[in-house]
Amino acid sequence: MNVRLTIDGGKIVAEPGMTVLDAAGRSGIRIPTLCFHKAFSPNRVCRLCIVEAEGPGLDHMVTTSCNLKAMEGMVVETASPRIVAMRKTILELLLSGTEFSHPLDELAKAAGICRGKFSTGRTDNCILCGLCVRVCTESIGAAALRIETTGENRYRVAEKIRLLQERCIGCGACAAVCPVAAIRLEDVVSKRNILVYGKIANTLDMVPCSMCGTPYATQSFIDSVKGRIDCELKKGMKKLCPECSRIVYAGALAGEFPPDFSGPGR
Amino acid sequence: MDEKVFCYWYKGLSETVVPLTYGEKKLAAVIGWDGIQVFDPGLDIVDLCYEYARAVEESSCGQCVPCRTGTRVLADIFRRFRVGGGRPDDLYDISSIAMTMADASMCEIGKSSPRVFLYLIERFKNMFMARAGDSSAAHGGYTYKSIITAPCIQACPIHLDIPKYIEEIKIGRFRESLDEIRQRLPPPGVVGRVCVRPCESNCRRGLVDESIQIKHLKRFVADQSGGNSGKNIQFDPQGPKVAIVGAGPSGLTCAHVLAVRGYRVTVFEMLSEPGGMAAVGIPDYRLPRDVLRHEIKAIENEGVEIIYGKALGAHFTLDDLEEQGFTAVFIGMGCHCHKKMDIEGEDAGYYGYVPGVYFLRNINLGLMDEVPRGKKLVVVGGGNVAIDCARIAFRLGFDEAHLVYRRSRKEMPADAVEIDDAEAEGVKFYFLTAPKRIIGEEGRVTGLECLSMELGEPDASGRRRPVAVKGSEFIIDSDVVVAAIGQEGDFSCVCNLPGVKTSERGAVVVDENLMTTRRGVFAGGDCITGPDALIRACAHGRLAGLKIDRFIETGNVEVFEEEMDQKLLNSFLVFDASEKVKVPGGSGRIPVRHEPSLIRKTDFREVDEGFTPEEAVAEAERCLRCYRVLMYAYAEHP
Repeated sequence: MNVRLTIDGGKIVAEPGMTVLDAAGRSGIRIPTLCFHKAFSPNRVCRLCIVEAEGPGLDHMVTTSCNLKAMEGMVVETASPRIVAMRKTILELLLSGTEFSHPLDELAKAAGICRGKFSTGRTDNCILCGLCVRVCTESIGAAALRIETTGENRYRVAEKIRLLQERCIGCGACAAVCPVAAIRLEDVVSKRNILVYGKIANTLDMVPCSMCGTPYATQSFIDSVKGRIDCELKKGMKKLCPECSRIVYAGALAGEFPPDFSGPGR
Repeated sequence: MDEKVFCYWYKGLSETVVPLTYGEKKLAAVIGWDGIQVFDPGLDIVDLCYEYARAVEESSCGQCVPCRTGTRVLADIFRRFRVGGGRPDDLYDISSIAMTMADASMCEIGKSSPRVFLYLIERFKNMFMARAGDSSAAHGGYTYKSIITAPCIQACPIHLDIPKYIEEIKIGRFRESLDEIRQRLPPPGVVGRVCVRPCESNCRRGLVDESIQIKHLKRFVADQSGGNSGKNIQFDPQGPKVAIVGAGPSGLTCAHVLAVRGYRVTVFEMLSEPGGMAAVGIPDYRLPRDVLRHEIKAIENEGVEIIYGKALGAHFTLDDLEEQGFTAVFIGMGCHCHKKMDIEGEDAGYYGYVPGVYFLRNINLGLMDEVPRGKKLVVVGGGNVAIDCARIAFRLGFDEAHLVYRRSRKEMPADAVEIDDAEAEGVKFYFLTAPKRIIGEEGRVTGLECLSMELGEPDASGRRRPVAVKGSEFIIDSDVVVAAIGQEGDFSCVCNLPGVKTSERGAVVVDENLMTTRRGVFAGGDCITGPDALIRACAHGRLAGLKIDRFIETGNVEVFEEEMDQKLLNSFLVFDASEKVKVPGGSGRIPVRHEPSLIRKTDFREVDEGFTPEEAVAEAERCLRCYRVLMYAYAEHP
């Protein structure tokens, strides 16, 4: 059964199990967030998506909306003065601890703040949200990234991201999910560099496309994909870069090439 | 509002200032999650704020932004104030960061710690203003120390760092989680199955929906590391030797603590089986024997030697141990005695009458000839032993199991989960019923005559005293009557200990350092407390191990800092059961799977199944991580 709730004064109908962040987004109310990614359960660490909420059986409270289930009769404020002030402080803290990154600066601009209010001496732009670790472990299965601590402090569990070279397959999923570009990919000729905090953390060779010869993916990534698909699909798999595979398979659909066409090579 | 000696504490303390001490030391101030108390007018508030902010920063797990960065920035601002670099508008920043942290942090470190700053910058606004840009103000002369606790840690007798090992589960580091537990508690798989879990009744998640299943999470990490067999410890073959009497929970924990510190440890066990009460007092369907043996093997692998079939007082004496060159002795004997019901027929020697402790012990030792058999069994008592006896009856082939308890269900001391499980398996309960007479014919039990009770006035324990209803006698037909009304009574096991004082009840008397009246002889567990929870025995074993280490090293025993920390923490309300926890609820416990009661009650296989990794992570994610930081200060030259 659908639930009806009020967000910023507007009546909203949400599907059962939907979060407030999701429900608001579908009604065009944008709640800022950095660490939430729809492929994963909420991380709850950037705290930007905080809202004020209350409802039947729910005391008035400030809580993150990414993990708050929409409930019948709930009243949510996503931009009350209190929330806006806190969000501004969180952004100031984020900006103090990180280097420039596009999404963060956009958020800062929207909140009307400039950087440099506080300083914590960090020189990277990582917000330690852990999305890269989760995509690498939960989705790719490589588990090549870890959140690590640096000091002796036994309570600290998060300080920096570390890449384990022997496990990395160079897929680039980490760079794709990173909200602040703290992890980046750089393909230079036939080498793929993975940069963590601006420094090269791993370099892998790329395999050339069997049609055009452009290096397009790492061998271990191709092996990993092969390991996950069935024999039938494996047979049909060709070493093609995305561009060539589009041409080949579109052509095959139109009957231009025989389906077992393996390319002219070079 | 400018007095220098004051108390502001949100809950649990009065406004009047009662100076606290830490061991011998007079404290200058304490500051914590709920407020501040200053006893020494010479103490600088700015210094105190800085030191507390630093301690909180160091305790932050670093996951959420407000706490990770907020604590760092707060500490930095207070540091500037200390050296005269503060600015008036810093006060605004302190308040906005503290407010944001208190509302928007993920866990309690960030939520609870900064509240006191909001109070202090308001109360001492003028002082802070005056200090801005003034580097001449004197500071120093005090030592600051911080203690970290949480409601669950506080309730745990052995003070396991519960939020820490749950956090490790949450981020998938199961091995690290187990290492954290094993630092203090060597048998996590055992405790993870049978603990009475005081932690779970102090869990703040329980104030939102349901408390975290800490026990099951502990079992999960223990089960995950099937291969953990203890580290091989290099010990000095000429080094000091320690003797331990009793291979039960306290003795083995003590052995582990000493072995990892390089001592040569020998354990003397009276039975043919290690584990003490954990082995012979708990049925296998709750604690499988291989789990226990595996964890004991891990302790043996650390270089601990166990000698079976040797009882202190019967086969050897304390003097023998001294002669054999043992520098210290730990007595960790269990309480295998039972309390009599004092009813007619108890002493008639009927076949079929048995005390619960012996019933369980003979079954667990495989001495089945000693176990009375039949079709119907009645247990008298309301504790865990009584429930165990009733549930084990089905597994022995009894058709009916009845349990007679003189109070009502809610007063039963047994674990509520166990009571539910017993009911599901078909145990018939008779509440407000007391035994009157064991009926026997031709030397065999044929039934138990009972009396109905009603609840009268509350007694010393606060529970309403049951009073017999006249003429309400009735008979439960049975072939076996089990008396499980407690293990109090005389400690017949503790005898023949020259130089060791025992109390009137027969318990070993120890001082605050767990040392008996005989120097170098320590004791812990049931033999000093009477029958008690397994985790408390382990806690004694651990502490005694550390005391023995100190005793052998320095020739002295003394109260440790961690004990003084506890004493100080006990002055404050770490868990407030009336607190309104502002967290959205509705995500209850991940259910523990177990086999259907009709199938499981016929054999001794373990009833509860362990969590899968996914279930464990989901359960761990419910943890609110209620760490609290307390800091105390004392003058360096009082």
